[in-house]
Amino acid sequence: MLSVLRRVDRLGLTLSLASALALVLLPLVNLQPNRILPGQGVALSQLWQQNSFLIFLPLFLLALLSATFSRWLWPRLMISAAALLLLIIALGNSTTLLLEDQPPFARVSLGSGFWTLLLLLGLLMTDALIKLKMAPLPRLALVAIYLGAIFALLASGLWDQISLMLEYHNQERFWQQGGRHLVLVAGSILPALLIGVPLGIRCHRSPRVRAAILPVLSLLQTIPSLAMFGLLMIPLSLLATSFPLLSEFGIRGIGAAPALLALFLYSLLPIVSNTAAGFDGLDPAVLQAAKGMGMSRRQRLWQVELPLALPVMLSGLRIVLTMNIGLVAVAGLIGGGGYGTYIFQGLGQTATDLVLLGTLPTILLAFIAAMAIDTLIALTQRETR
Amino acid sequence: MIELNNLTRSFGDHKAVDNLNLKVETGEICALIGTSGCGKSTTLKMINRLIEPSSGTVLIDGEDIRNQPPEQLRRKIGYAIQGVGLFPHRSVYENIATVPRLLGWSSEQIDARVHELLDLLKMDFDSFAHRKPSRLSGGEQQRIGVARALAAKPDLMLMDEPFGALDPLTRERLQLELKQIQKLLGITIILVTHDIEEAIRLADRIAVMDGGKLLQQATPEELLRNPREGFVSNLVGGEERALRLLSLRSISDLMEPAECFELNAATPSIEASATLRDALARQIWQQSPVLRVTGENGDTCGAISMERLLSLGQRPE
Ligand SMILES: Nc1ncnc2c1ncn2[C@@H]1O[C@H](COP(=O)(O)OP(=O)(O)OP(=O)(O)O)[C@@H](O)[C@H]1O
Ligand SMILES: [Mg+2]
Repeated sequence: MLSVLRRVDRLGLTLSLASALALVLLPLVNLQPNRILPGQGVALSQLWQQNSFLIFLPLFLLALLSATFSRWLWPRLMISAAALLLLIIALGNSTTLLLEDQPPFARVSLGSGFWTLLLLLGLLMTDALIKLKMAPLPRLALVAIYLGAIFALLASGLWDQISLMLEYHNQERFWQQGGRHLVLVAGSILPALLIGVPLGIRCHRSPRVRAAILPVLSLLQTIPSLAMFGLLMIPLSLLATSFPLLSEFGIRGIGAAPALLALFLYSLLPIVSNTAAGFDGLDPAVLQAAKGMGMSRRQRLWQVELPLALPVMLSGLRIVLTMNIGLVAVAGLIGGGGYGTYIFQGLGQTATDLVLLGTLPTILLAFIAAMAIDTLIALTQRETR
Repeated sequence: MIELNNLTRSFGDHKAVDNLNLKVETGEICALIGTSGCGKSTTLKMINRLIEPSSGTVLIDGEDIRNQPPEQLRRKIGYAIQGVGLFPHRSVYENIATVPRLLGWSSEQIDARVHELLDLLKMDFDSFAHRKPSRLSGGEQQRIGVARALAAKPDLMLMDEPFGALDPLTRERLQLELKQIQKLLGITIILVTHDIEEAIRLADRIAVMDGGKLLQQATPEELLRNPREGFVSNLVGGEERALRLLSLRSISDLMEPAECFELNAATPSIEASATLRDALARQIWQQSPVLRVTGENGDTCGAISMERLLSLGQRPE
């Protein structure tokens, strides 16, 4: 008995108990009379006549047991991954059944139970994935394949009856908005990199430059995003009214221009300070050797300093990327476009699923960006090992 | 030939190097020795213009080093740095290839050179060439540091404590290897050290520095026999000098014909290439005042007596 107890994985046990409770106590889906009105939670007992639930439930139990007791990480990962996929399939299958004798405007929306399970299973998988200590590229590939599988399920029309997907099909410009979101992120980060990296190097070389620049950038960072948008709208709209030509190019008080400018300003601090930190951390013996062997200033920069400072600089980029993907959503409020547009439209119409249609892709983008940069950091660090 | 003329370098009002004059002949090893902070590294760095002198000149083969751009000068001078400073993101191969690449050698030339150097330093190409420096031991890193400095076949090498922080055995082996390589290639080496044993073992000429000033420069033997009063004589050691003097010469210099002694089968033997210090140690250890001296093939080629050793190591009048 004691030996069994000792083998218990505490984190696994906690997550498993929480998952089991969530499945029993929280509704997986809600039945709404229409798009706006809040719905009624659907109990698990109403769902499990569905065949696919009969497969999901034992697999779910197995996932929880393996998370609690198993030292074998691969089964842990695979079983919880399969359980989540089956949950998606089971929910998709049960919607038709639930909507059978409902009025035409009725909708099935995802309930708190589903979101909780998504989170907890996600944590179980992440935990197993971290403990597996895979090489960075295979790990990225594994996550990509799994996300691909979920996308394939959604694209197959399995969830087309579910409110979130109905909202998706109502939005013809969903993918364009995604593109716009990314353009705004890239449009703010690229200039920030072009200016921030040289500035960071300057800060590393001269304490005076550092003392002058970093406090200003930190101050900028503390301005809340909406206040920053507001602050920038005034001078930009003044500019646009005095030079109408500028507004032809999109430089107006409202829209993408203030958003881009604000995000650019926010991005500077992490990029500058991490670049400076990366260069500060270089081994003086290595730099001396590079110089003593006759490398020119430019050769030292490109062949020695930048490659060695890269991991620290990339962790700055990671901060900026995830931060800006989130902030671009806020820019939706001032007409900047991107997924934020759905969030604010949804809030206006009190249509929760439209809000989700904006939030979920934003979170997913941030997740993918963070994961991709982590892979890059791991690869560049492995270079020096 | 390297000439340092009235070389001075101040940092603020502190003179790290103070009016230093030194000549190093081509093909010599010159050791700069002194306590920590006495200006050895500063002197060395003024030779490859990592530090510019406040006043004075450095001539290499009669030409002022300021006549060429520092990068070009440095590519011609091998530099092994205090603390090694291998590039952690590059393989051993790429580290060694650094200067040849800067000089635009072809990849075949570079490949041949890397093979040659690893061979010279007795490191197996297949097991070392593609490792990252972090996967080498400290001694291996220092060897690669030396190989990297030798890569572009420099006529002059500057070495700043190339064997610091090594265990005595590895240190001694690397010193011998360096000496062999230097003889083989006929290069000039200026070597910074704070270890008098290392200086005596390696150098043809020793320059003793203290507080930025050159106190004395001489061959090891001269330095041991006639050190200047004060710092230098403390450095070369009081009575230990006797043993150090013995370590400068090999047995073949001092041995006598075997016929002068009554050698029998029980007489211990020693190779002719060993130092006189080794001979004395063996005589004491084996309690035998005479040793049989053997040549490379193991045949007896002479004998050495303790009496003779004692007379050589005695205090000069
Ligand atoms: N860039 C510099 N700025 C100011 N002072 C310096 C600088 N470089 C060296 N010094 C000073 O010059 C003196 C000589 O330094 P150097 O590095 O030449 O010593 P060293 O003989 O090589 O000592 P060690 O054996 O510890 O390496 C020291 O007092 C040092 O503090
Ligand atoms: Mg030094």
